Amino acid sequence: MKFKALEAEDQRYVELAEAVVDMDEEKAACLAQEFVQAEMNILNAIEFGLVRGMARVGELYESGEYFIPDLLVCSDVMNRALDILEKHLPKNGRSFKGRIVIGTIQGDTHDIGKNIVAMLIRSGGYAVLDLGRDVSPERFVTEAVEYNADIIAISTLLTTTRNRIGEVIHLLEKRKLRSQFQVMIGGKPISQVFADAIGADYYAENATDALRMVSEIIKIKNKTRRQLCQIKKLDK
Amino acid sequence: MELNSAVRDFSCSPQQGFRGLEEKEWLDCYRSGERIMELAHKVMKLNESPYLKLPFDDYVEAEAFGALVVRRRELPQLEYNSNNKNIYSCIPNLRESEPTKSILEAIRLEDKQPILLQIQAPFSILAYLLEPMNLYKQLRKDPKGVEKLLAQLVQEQIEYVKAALQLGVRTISVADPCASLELIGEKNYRSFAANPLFHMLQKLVPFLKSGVIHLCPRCSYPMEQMGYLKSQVKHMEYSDQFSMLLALAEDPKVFVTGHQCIHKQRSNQSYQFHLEIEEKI
Repeated sequence: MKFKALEAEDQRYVELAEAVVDMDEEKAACLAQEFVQAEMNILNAIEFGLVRGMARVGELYESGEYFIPDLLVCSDVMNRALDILEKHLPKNGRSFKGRIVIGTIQGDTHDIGKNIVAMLIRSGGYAVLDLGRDVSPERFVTEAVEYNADIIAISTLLTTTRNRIGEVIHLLEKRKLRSQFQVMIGGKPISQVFADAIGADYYAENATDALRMVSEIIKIKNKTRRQLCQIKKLDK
Repeated sequence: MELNSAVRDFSCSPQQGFRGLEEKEWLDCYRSGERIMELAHKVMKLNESPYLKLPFDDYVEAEAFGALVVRRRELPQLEYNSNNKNIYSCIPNLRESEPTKSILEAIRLEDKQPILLQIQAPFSILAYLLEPMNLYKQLRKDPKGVEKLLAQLVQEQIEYVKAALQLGVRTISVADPCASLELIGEKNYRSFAANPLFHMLQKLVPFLKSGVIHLCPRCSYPMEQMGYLKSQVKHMEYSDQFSMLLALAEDPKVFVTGHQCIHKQRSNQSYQFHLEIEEKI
């Protein structure tokens, strides 16, 4: 798998990205060790090596070249290198593009789809708090507040449980927290029509769609934040 | 019809599960052959079904192979051991392990009503034994190991079905709910879902002189599209699936059928596919 390197240092990150795409766990771990020993920029290694590699994996998955088994193994490769690199991050640590709380709604114990979405979002450079399966609406809200999340992502496979997703939104409204979080939903019985009906902000059709939406939501949120800052500055 | 759309457009008919029975009745439903038959008759009456359907859920083979199944709710649930490695070293005998042993005993006890034995295809059994995320990784990391394990499961399944046939079962239905083309892709589907199932069917054909195996459309469509099976339309005048199956079991030339859901009580279509197993893939 070939990427275009912009400069010499980038060439090393490209090698790491390629190791992720090629599912070469040993190579990825060796490269991560080399970066640490050579005191290279760890944040760049994560962003331009691992995240870049997983972004390509996501593209290959979307185009039907890679499937779930490939996606999971690539993610394992990324995590092995990430474990090595993260120990050597600067004191202020790694900054994430955004924070997402994710889970399968109460009554539903199916979590393969949710796990894949969580993995893809995490590998896109976002902080993800995975609440697991059978999560109550109350817990979604409490955890999102505590985690200071930007997005609440809810999945379900069952028609019988999908209506509980609406309870999360209802609870957010009741506690006057609705504007604080974007709610993204997905799963087999979910559609745009259903999302609109319960007042969810976004409907993701599949895992790559979910990652794309997270990226869009965070971009919009950051832009709004910047605009608010500018307005505040002008007011002063 | 294009392969993926054929599978995608097919919608499952809901299974009955234990609906209508009391909790205490299904908590120990596989306690003994007598108990199984007593409940099977009750379910048959409740559903106004013309036949006995065994077992009551999808997990019995996996449970006999070592999976932990919890029957606390109306529909049973699996509890995965993290990275269940033991299954690689020891595959129990289905005919000697519970609950499949008691299911065979129940079949032996029944001599009046026709029985539909529902079994799971090898890939789905494996997906009940290994946590799916772990299983999917193993398909990439240890394909030979997975294939070897599947071959062992197939061998046990063959012996189990043969035992049921010898005890008088004439209709068997196979489902593979965990094998999804969209999730694992065609290459993996061939290696880990279609090949083991095809091998199982091939080995069972000589024992199907007065029996028939029905394949869930989610298996039969991909299997035909990939060249493992060939369908032929057979016009029949039966209003329900099971009567059609019994008639097909009588036909010495028909061993495998499919493309229609077994849980569909009535069919407006007066035809049934029968599938010929291709000699060479």
